[in-house]
Amino acid sequence: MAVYKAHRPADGSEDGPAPRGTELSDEDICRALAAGEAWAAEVIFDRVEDVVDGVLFRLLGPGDGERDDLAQQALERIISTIVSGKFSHGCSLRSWATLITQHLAIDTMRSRSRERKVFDRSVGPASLELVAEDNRTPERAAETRRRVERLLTALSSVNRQRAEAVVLHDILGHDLAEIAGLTGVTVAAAQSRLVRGRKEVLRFITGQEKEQRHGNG
Amino acid sequence: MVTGEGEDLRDTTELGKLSSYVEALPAGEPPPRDRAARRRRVVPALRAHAAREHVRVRRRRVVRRASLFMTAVGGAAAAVMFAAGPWGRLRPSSRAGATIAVLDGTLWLDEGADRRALRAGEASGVDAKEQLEAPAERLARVRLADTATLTLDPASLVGTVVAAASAPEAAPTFEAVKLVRGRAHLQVRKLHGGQRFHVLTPDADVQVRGTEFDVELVDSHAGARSGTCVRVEEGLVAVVAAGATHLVSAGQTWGCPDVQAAAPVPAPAPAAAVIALPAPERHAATPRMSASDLRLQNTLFQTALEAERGGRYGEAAQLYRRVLARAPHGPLAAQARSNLAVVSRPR
Repeated sequence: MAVYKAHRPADGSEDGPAPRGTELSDEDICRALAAGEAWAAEVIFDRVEDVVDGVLFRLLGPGDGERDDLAQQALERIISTIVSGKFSHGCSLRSWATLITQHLAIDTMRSRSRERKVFDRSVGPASLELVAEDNRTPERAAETRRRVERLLTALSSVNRQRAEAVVLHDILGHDLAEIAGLTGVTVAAAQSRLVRGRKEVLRFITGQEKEQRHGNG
Repeated sequence: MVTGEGEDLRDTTELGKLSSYVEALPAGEPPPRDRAARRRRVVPALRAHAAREHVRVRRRRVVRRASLFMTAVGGAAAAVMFAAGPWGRLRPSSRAGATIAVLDGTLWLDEGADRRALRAGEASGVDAKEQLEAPAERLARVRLADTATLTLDPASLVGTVVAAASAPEAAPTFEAVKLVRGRAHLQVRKLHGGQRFHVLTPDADVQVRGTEFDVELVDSHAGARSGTCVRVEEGLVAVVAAGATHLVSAGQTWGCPDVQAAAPVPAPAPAAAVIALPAPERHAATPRMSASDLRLQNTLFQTALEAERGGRYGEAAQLYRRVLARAPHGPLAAQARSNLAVVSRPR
């Protein structure tokens, strides 16, 4: 149960501030949002903003120029799913935010991958900023960048549900039961997606490595 | 990277390889930023977005409920209208929908409680439930689809039997009329194949393939006997009654109370003969013949017709000549002479 921290709307709108010093459950917030209470959107921001930012940081890197915009998009998506009743209440709002944000991140990676195929086959400048700080040797830093680039390209290339399982489990650290609850499938199905997703990602990475070796040789 | 779940990558080197890639991703917390400024920027947008979404979802719910309601109401209304309205009564069936057109006079269409008038020049679809009635004071002439033309004496009443359409795009036709009361004069167009047009009466089934004849229901008070009376003007008519079939040819009658007293039947105009045949002498009345003689003539004539339909024109001509030789002024003579002219044409 999170403690609500109230703030008056920055735009001075007449929607009114959220109740101050009140403890609100996820259920209460969702109910208020579905009832058209605009202040609930503010509470959502307070509750999940750090999760959204963390997922985007982990998946897209610290130097991504669109991270703020993507964070706002993710928050809007979260609000939309709650208002329309797609949020099943089978998990916490923070877990739901993780799922929605990684969806958005994968969509973004896919979209960028398509754009690179169409407009520029070289590595884009954004990918060079994927690793924020690397105090190791320049060669090591370059290798790390290549690995991140390959992993993200692989995740954006494989089946979406399997990529989602790999991201949630191997990158964001959710266990299979959580993934099953988040994605609305059985634990067995989540495990199957994870195993297949890992295989597909590894196959893609191995193919990329071979191509690189052939290119160097 | 979390391990120990979902591992059927038995080869730990592969799992290790994937781990090494995952570890290349940035870890830890994102660098601190000016959260307050971000909050000021994002929260108003989120509040506006929430309000928009709320309106959109509410509108969508209203539209969905309205469409469900309209669908339910529309379906119920259509069902009620179809079952109880005029559409229900005019519901097409495999044996309904043949068209009649009134050529002369007025015709009443009866269907139970409904009764409507069709005047000359008007047309309507009818089904098997409807009966056609001529007005009490005058004749009514009506065309039954492309099958027959029916002239009803005043106050006569007939029902119709509609045949199913032979093809999906073909219009239904009439296969029979039921004479309920009075007298009907019919001109049936030439039918092909095994087609027959029937006039059904309480005691007989009059079958034709293309001819002109009268059928009358004779009242027991008016004539010597009650029942069906058939007068043939042209062609050949088969009357099936009491399990027996009687062939009635042009000029003959069947079942009428008094043949001699019956209205004179106009003899058909002789066809333009292309071969020399003895011209028939006109007699005021058809001479009476014995039943056995008439039966023989009918048999000869029917055999000749079958030969003609089978394309055996020589045989047909010979049989028609035999009919003419046997009874040159008989009831079948005119038709036999006409048919003989046709089959004798050089081919």
